[in-house]
Amino acid sequence: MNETQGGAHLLELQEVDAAYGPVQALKRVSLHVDAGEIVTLIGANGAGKSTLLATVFGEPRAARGHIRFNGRDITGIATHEVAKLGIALVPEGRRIFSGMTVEENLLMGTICIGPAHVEPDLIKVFEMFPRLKERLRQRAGTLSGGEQQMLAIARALMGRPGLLLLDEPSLGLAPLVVRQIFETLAEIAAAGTTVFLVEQNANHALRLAGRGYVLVNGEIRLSGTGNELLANPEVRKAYLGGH
Amino acid sequence: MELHIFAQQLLNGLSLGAIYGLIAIGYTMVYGIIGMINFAHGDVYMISAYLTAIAMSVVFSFGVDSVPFALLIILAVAVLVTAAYGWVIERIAYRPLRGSTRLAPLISAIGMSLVLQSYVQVSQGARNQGIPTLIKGSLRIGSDTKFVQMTHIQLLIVAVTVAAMGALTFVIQRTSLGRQCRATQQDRKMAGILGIDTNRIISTVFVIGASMAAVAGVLVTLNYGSFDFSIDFITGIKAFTAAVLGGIGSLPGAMLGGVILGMSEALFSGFVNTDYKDVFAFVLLVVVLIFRPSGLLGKAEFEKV
Ligand SMILES: Nc1ncnc2c1ncn2[C@@H]1O[C@H](COP(=O)(O)OP(=O)(O)O)[C@@H](O)[C@H]1O
Ligand SMILES: [Mg+2]
Repeated sequence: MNETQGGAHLLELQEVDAAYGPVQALKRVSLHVDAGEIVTLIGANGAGKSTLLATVFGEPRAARGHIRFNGRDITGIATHEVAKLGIALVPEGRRIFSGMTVEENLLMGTICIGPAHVEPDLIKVFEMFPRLKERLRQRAGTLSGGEQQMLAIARALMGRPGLLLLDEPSLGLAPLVVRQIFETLAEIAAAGTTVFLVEQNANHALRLAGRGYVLVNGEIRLSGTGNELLANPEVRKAYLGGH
Repeated sequence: MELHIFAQQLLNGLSLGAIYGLIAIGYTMVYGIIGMINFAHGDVYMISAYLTAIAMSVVFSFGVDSVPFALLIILAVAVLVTAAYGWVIERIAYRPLRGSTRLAPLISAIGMSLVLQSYVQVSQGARNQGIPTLIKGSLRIGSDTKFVQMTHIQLLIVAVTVAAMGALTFVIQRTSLGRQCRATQQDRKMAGILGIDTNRIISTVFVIGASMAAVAGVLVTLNYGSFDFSIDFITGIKAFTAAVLGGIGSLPGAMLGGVILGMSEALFSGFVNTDYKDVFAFVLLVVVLIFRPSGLLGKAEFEKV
């Protein structure tokens, strides 16, 4: 699922601009994620992190530049076609279907690949998140914040993605739950899914990731390995509380 | 007031309410998924009444003499062609306006309604249309002086409505298509990200709504035997009232609202005044909108993101 064609990156953004009407949210953003990596993108509130993930799905569309997946230009394809390529998003605010049961939410994750692997994949996500199994027939809206985040991740995994995009999965969760979520992300990556993680929680994210980018006002300001960025004075000052 | 007369009015109201409920489904599902009142929906229902008459004359000109077989063909033709109308209306009047202002599709809907009305009036004539009675007889329970009865066609209306509602509920609650409809209703953007072609789902909802209206059109035409191009307005408003009463966006609400409206209208015309029975629905609509705009069952159905 993860093999690249002709040495191309798994995901590549090249000089991408994106805007909401007059508000330019991304300016000449270039970055890449290779198969098997954990890459993180950190940035302050309003930097354009969510927009960057959204442009991969064409909402909003990149106004210029190119987005490639496995070497294929996907800049202009329809939103619902992106999932079928093997890209899944765990969005900011989780966006689970609160009126549906936990089970139905998980089934929604399989729309892009069809129902063939539902049984074994359910067993896999229940191993990862036993809580979801206990709550299978419960309305998803009744879950706690942490459980909803687990459900959003599990839903994404049900589509067997080659690339998993996550938008601030630690937002609003208790420290203990955040630790669990990050441990799970490490497991997911170890099992062969490439992870691209957007976070404000720079400390956790940079420790998990092999490489990272720093987004400031819609532009990539810095990039490097997780450890390089953790040691960078600018990053320490702006994102790690200055010590 | 005698009990059997009261019961009789409730039975009359039940078959009437089933019709309102069937049409209300189209209003409520379209509202649920794109947040818009499809004002052309009453006209879709009217078209199905004409299709019933046309299909009937064609079927009988081929010498089909089995009534159940003829009814099946008529129902199939009316549903298929009406569903196609529903699909086309969405494509040409609403989809191009998606993402524009909230008012634009509303105006487009009213325009579409006028177009359809004029189109039928011009192509079919403004005269009242009639069809022969296919289903006669009734079922009577009670003594010779005190009884309640339902005509066979009223029984058919209730039976077909229950079957159609059962099938629709199954599709929405238990199938992948139904889950995709509910997901698109709750969070269209997330549905798209998960790989759902939300435009296709919205089309499907228009097709489902039109099909249900077509079932209602066939049943009403068989029951009354006559109609003209203006039935869309009164019946459309009443079905819309049923949808609002039940809670717009809610499927069981549409059915419940239909039955409550049908029964209270029948009681009103039986015991208060027949001439004002159409006004009754309007008054009810206004009262519901003032005192309980979310309707009876319309609350936790969806939270728009
Ligand atoms: N739907 C939208 N319409 C208009 N402006 C938006 C919209 N979403 C985000 N923005 C703007 O785009 C910029 C980047 O936002 P966002 O990508 O959400 O940042 P982040 O995820 O890093 O907090 C901000 O200035 C924000 O106000
Ligand atoms: Mg964000």
